[in-house]
Amino acid sequence: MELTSKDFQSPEDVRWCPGCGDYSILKQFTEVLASRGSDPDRTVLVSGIGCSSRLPYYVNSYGVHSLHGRAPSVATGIKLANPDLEVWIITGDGDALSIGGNQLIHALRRNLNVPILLFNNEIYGLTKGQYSPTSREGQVTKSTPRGSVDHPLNPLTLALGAGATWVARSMDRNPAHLREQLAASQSHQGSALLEIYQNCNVFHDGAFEVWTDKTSQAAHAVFLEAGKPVAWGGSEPSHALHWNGGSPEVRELGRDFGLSDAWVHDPSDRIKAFALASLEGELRPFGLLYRAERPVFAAAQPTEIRSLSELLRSGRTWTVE
Amino acid sequence: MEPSVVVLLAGDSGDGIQLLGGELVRAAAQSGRDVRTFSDFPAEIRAPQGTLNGVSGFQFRIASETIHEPGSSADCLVAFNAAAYVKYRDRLKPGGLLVAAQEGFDAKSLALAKLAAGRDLLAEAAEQFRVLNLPVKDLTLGALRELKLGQRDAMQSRNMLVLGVLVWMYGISAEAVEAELRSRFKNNQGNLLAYRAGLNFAETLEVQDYRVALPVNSVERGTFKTINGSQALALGLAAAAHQLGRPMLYASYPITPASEILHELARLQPQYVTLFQAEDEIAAVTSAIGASFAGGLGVTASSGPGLSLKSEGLGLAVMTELPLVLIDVQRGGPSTGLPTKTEQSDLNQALHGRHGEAPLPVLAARSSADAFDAAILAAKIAVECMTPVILLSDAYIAGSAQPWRIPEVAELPSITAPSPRASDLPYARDEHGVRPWVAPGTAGGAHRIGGLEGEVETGRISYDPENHQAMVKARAAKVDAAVRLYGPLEVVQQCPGADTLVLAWGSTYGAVRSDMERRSAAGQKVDYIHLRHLHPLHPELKKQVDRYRRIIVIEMNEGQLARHLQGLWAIPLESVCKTSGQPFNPDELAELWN
Repeated sequence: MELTSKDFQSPEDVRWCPGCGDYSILKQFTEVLASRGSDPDRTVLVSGIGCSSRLPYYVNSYGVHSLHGRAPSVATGIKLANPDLEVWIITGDGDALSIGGNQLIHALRRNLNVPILLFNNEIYGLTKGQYSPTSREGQVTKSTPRGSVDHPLNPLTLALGAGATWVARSMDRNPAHLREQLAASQSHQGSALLEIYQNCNVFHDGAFEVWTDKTSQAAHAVFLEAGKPVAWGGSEPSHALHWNGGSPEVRELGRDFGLSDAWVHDPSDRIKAFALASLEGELRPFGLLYRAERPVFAAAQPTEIRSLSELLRSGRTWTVE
Repeated sequence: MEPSVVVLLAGDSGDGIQLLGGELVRAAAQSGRDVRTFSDFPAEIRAPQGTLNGVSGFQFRIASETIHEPGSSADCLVAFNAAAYVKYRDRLKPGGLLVAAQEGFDAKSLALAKLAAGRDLLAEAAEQFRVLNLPVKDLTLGALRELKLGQRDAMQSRNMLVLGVLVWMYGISAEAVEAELRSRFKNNQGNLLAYRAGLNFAETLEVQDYRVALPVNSVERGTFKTINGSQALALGLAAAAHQLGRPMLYASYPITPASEILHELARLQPQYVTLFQAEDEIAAVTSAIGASFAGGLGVTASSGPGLSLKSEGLGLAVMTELPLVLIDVQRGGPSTGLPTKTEQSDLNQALHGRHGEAPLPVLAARSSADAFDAAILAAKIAVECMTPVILLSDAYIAGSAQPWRIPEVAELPSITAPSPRASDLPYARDEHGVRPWVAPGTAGGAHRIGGLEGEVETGRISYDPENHQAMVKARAAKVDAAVRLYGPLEVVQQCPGADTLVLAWGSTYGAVRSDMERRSAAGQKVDYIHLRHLHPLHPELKKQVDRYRRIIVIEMNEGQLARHLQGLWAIPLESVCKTSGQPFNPDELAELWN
């Protein structure tokens, strides 16, 4: 029997603030689980602490709402005990990049076979509005009334640096794009880091509006597609990137520089993925930046199978008759 | 007293002392003597040769009868250099035998040991001790001459020369040792030649006066091997996984002295134990929790600082009611403290070191061989009560070796997982208050658990005050019910009419037991109970304790168990303790209370 997204709704009342971007992510996520034939009895959602990390409670599957920052470790244990389970990590910018930074980078470098959904809202929501590791310099929050002096962390360059084999970005306000990226992250063999721009309408409203709002999106959001030019500006692109001797250069499309001159997106190129991920200004990439194949993390198998009795008797023994 | 001999080997880490001691002890055990060992080494890996900082010691005791500990002061000190002698001379009995490697007492060695030039250390030693000045270097090089090795390579075999001397001195079967060396060092002629040279030297020339007869008095039958605490814990975990019939995940982060368990498991490769060297202590405990959620048994180990880092994880395991075994191989603390020395100072942390109301079973191994049984019992309690369990060991147990009768698999206790009753709610409890273990993959069993308080039976998020109170009590009651898995209360020593009771726990067992036997032999009426379970306490314990006028609690800390028991019982207790990083020995215990 085919399942629908309703079959993935848990009996828990959803307790996010009205208008939170998490609602859209939850909806797209359950639709993807249903459409891709996930089995609630064989699916495990693992989260840490924070608003995003409440998501497992709202999905009808197995779920662990664990410790702040430690979802990757819990997921590692689950995968080592039963590699056949479909496991997802649900996390946020504070959970994954601050308290759980170590767990995240080691899951990525090991290539743990799990998609990691990182809801980035550039704020601590559940603790009521302190600046997070992705908050921007000068951002005014409860703990930085005169503006944050910390330099923000870029989740995508961090993931690439840690050896992630799949790195992408999407947003809560673009359901179709989000579903596509969620499905692709699930298909990937290995750690798939999907950063999702998620609006916190209570503590940091409009943080990503320039990329999510229909009026400004075309000029600032680059939707990447493998084999296609890195271009933006609407249905008829107005601008494209030029790979100018190793540094990305924004070019206006026209007589001097046509689409055929533009940089063609190749997700297997790690150097160019770094260049795209490094676009931290008003122009930002969405979609799959990087994908590589590497063996997934698995436990070492014994070279020799011995019974317990043989094991206990291993080494030098003697017998008294 | 039983006929026994205590030998202390001391030298640089490069002198091969552990190998030498290990061979002697195994050969002695194989020839029917009882043995115990104690390793004392610095935290630095290879401190400069010949200096006081570089000295490590290996103490062992060989006995005709059953013994419980590696002895107090040494009958024989083998010093490979002047620094080793200086560091350990206080441990040699007056009139004891000093075996001095001649070349280690030259002018250069004296300087390295920070001794004034021109001193004749061995002449000074002869005023207090019998001295055997053993030309280890000359004999070794002479024995290996035909191999035409460089001096450096040839001197690698010097420990085998000393082995030969000691084998002869203590009447250990030379043939058995030779056979062992042949099989162990197939391609190393040098070791065999040096060993024979030591044996011949002892037999024909110089050391007749130092021979000690240790009659063989073996009684127990079975297949044996020598085992230290780390090896016993590794095998115990493998046996527990086998008895449970589910995969086990052993996840740990390197820390002295717990890492040896990981090394041992990595060497043995039991197919039912998956190993994971985590990126930190927190990842180790939380991955173990993940494995338990997935239906395997998560196990992690550490020492004091790591236990602190894992304590938040223990809270999660308490809240989610998942099985977990945490082995704490205690060392001198706080902080990095004395990383290679032993203490029992994590007891408070094990019993109380968590946020919230988070009781969990705590038990302790009392010896190396006992660590095997303790590991299986810890896993049994964790699984059958669906709770995290802390098993306390320490640096002394970790490195100390003794003969171990290898049990038959049929003798091992069963471990039965609570059945996954898929139709049941995740926090429905059985008659012992234990919830079912429903692993992902169980059809119709999908549920969500986590650190938030769960509703009675359903486990759904609940902030209801009455529900929280009920769950706090249910979790505690479940842990209290672990006592159904305990054996009878063991009174180790019982004298008719005794009005004094000694309580001890963990690795003090050997020293306390020897002390108690001596006191009993001297006519002192005193009983002795050694606690396996620190929480919950054995249900018969209080009743037993109430029979005595005087209670003495012995432990290697500043009185943590004594204070804990006083808090529970509100009765006067006498605390006998030390926190020096060194285990108790019976001579010392005899002085500490009366």
